[in-house]
Amino acid sequence: MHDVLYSMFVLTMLACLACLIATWRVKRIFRDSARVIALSQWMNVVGVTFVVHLVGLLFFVVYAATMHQTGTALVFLALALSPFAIGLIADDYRKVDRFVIIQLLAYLLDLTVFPILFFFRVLA
Amino acid sequence: MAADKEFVLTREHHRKAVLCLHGLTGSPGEMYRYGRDLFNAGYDVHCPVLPGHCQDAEAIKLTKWQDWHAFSLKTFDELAGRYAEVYVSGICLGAVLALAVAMDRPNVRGVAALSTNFFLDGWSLPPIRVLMPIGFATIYKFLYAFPETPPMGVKNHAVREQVESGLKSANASALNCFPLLCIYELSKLSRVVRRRLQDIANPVIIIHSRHDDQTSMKNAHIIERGVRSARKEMVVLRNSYHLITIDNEKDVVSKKSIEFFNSLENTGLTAAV
Repeated sequence: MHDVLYSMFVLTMLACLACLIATWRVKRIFRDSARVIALSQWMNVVGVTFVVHLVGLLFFVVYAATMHQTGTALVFLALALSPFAIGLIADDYRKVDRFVIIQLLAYLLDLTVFPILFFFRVLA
Repeated sequence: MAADKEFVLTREHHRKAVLCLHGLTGSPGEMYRYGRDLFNAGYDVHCPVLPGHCQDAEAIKLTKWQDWHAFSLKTFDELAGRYAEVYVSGICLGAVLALAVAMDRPNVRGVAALSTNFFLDGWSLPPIRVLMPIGFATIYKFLYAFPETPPMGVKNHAVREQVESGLKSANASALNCFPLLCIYELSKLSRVVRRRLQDIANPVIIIHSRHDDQTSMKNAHIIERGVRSARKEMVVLRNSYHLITIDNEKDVVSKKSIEFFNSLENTGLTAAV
């Protein structure tokens, strides 16, 4: 079981890191209409890594819940749903830069909180 | 293509007019040939630029579906004050707007819905479109844009090259991409219109290509089943893609629309209110 947990952890962390980098790249080019092809390629990366990251976090939500670690499961769930919460708040294109920064910070938070919980709660 | 900006074709003493509405990220140019055919058949033609269009991608991203809807209603009301009979015709987003106008204005004499775009579900769209709902629910709706890639809604190779070079030119009025934010706004408008299709009792002609690369036949069937018009016609094309007003069967589109509008003249047939 530990092998599965470690694999899922590494996969989720890598997906989160890739999503962070790809979102940063997208932020830099999304206004440049001449680079719409490059934008779409980076968005393909975002799309795939976002889904992998989401699935990975949901896996740990279920795992923590079955281990009766309710608090940990809720934190994982919050991390998984945070992009949707930010998306719900973001309704004005004029403030797009601010929303992207918030999303990037959320990914950074994810990269910090997720390993801490994994090593100190899930594996403990 | 002529008329990259708004165009108006009028003659004195005309009693009937057609409001033509162009497509999402498009320009009145895609309706020009169609509009000219209607004009030659005796209709005044008004084809305005929809809010946010014929500018850069930033302008269109600042536009909400309510802006398009309000603009279409206002333009229709202006025409209804000047003409005895006003018809509304639109392609893609324009078709959804034409239905939205008919929904709220029983005095629309007739509607021509061309390549109606409730859902972007055509065969030429990239596989990543399956993630569109995730995009709509996150900040990525602000960032992503589907690049306009061949076949660009056009089956005819000569016309496609013309469209392609037009999009590459520095002063292109149409966009070379579909910002996800616009598709999001279109999806919200589509939802409103689909829910209220029952309110449409005006005569409707639906023209759609079986091989439309951007919107499937499902979109046309939704209208056919949804509206409660006593008079509705469906024309299925077989040798065009999405931009049917400039593609191989553009003459069929004009001819069928004109025949339909002519058949409504003096029949007293309008929305049953």
